[in-house]
Amino acid sequence: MSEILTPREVRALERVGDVVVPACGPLPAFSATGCVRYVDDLLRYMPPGDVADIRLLLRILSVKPTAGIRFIMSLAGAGRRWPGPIGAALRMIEIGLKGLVVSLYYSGKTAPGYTGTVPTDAIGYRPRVIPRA
Amino acid sequence: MSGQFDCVIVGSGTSGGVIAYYLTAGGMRCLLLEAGDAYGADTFPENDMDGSARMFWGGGLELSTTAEMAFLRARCLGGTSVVNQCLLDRFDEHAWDGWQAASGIGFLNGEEMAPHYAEVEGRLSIREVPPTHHNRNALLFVEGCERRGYQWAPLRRGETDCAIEEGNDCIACLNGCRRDSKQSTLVTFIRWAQALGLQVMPGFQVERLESTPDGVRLSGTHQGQMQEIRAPRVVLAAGALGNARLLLRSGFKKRLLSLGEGFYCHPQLMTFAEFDEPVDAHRGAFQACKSDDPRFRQAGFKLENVFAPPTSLAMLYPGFGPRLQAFMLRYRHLACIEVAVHDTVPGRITADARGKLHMAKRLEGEDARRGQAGLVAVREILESAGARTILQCPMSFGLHLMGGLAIGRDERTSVVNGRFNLHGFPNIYAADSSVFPAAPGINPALTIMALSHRASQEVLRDV
Ligand SMILES: Cc1cc2nc3c(=O)[nH]c(=O)nc-3n(C[C@H](O)[C@H](O)[C@H](O)COP(=O)(O)OP(=O)(O)OC[C@H]3O[C@@H](n4cnc5c(N)ncnc54)[C@H](O)[C@@H]3O)c2cc1C
Repeated sequence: MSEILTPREVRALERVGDVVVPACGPLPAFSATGCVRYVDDLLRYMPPGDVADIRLLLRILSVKPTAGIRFIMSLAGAGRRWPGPIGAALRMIEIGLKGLVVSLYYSGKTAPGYTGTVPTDAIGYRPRVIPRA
Repeated sequence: MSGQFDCVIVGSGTSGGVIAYYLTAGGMRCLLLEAGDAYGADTFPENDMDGSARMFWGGGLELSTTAEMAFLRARCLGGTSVVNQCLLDRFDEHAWDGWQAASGIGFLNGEEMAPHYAEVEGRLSIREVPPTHHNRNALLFVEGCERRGYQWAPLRRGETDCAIEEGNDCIACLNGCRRDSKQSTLVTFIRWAQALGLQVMPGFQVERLESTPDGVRLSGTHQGQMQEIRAPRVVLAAGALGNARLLLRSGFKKRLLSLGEGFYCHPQLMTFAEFDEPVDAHRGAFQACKSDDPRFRQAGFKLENVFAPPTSLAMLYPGFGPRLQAFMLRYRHLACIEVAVHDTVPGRITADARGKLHMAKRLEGEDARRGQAGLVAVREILESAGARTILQCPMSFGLHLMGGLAIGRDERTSVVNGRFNLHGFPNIYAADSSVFPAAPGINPALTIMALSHRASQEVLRDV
């Protein structure tokens, strides 16, 4: 599915995705949309060092229970208020993981054959581009 | 490659495009190098994920060293002019006074820069966003400002025909304007210069620059292959971060002590407010008005009515899980105003041995006070307009990346002189956002173009 992430890392990303953007009313869960299959479209353009950091994080998270992932995301979010290098590292974790997840999820891209609600449709985001005559 | 070109221009954005045009029109054989790819109306990415990943450095955004601030700059032919809002404002006297004080350069004033503004403005289609194009987000901004007695003004934008009446939504043009209406350098100066013979090489990232007895030697990667180019002169137009990185990696810090210093970015803070009725802030002309209040200018901030696509909104929301999703479901009911801080605390750009950039920049001291004052005004405006709940986002970001190669007379405190040469390097020029000696507190693009026009005249005079 991904040429950059291992299957284990993809599974971890799906679990992180379901923590960050779970099913909620008309909004489907991250994993339900199949948007994870487009992850290479993002990673291919990221600096190699950042990709290596994200892969390491995903490998660590892959052995954590969902509650552990939620705890780490909460901790990373709290890092917003922390000074010094620990705060910086936590903010980077939050931005890195959340950024990956919400970029995929709110791209409007879904797996072929997906019949559920597209997240962008659910929130009413359908910008129109009128072609030039 | 050598002997073919009179001038190489590194970076094809707001400055590079303008300079390429005037030098080519002046009879010079020019080569325009651009690290990013070439897109156009038919090939611009159609969703935010692909737009951010393909067209921005860092795969979307780059972070300050403390990860408290995110920076955005484009990496494509046409540079940041392709993805920006194309709001084109002249500097006021306050901005020029700040530049005079910081640089000591005589021509940096409204009167002497007026012909350069007029020259570039005369070639572009620039208009004020009319009240008929106000969406509800803009109407709420105006209503709130008027209730609080704050002055506002329409935004002035480079566009030909955005078809707002027909239902076009300009938010999509943050990944490039698929109507070719936005007056980016891609569809204006670069296109005109190509018609006159400009050679353009997208996908060429310059990694090293060396000054040689007969000119300059540039080396970099083009489609994965190392290449070398020699020319009598080079114009650096890779932006504040791009120019600083190239010169730092090439060892210029030994000669130019201020290289990488004085980095500014007009830190922006976003506030979202929920209304009972749909706002549909993403519809139509999604930016239309700004604050125009002397009290705000004095206090060091300005406000703009703006909005964000879902990905950016989700990133700005402080949290995750069901709370984030519930917030996103109110997307159509959100209004937004941004504070842009006229920053005074300089940051610093450095590059490590592997070429990775480090931007030390924080919203602190006087800048934090300015930001807070702006947020208070935003809250007042939104409450007066009837907001139900208000969310101030903790993360700030910089879209106007400026400085690092400050223009000035003193070699110890600046990098570029009044003739747009690097001090001591008469074959190396720069006139883009990197030469800003201080933050102006005003949209920078039009002034970058005006400076670039002036610089092109200096280059032509030198030849
Ligand atoms: C989303 C957004 C909205 C904005 N809206 C506005 C607005 O409405 N009005 C306004 O005035 N300003 C706006 N700005 C800011 C404005 O667009 C920039 O300040 C301006 O474009 C900077 O011009 P520049 O020529 O210095 O750099 P850029 O336009 O960024 O061009 C630099 C180019 O150099 C290339 N480059 C970098 N390094 C290398 C290298 N080593 N080799 C080859 N090429 C390289 C880059 O890929 C890029 O294409 C906005 C910015 C953003 C991000």
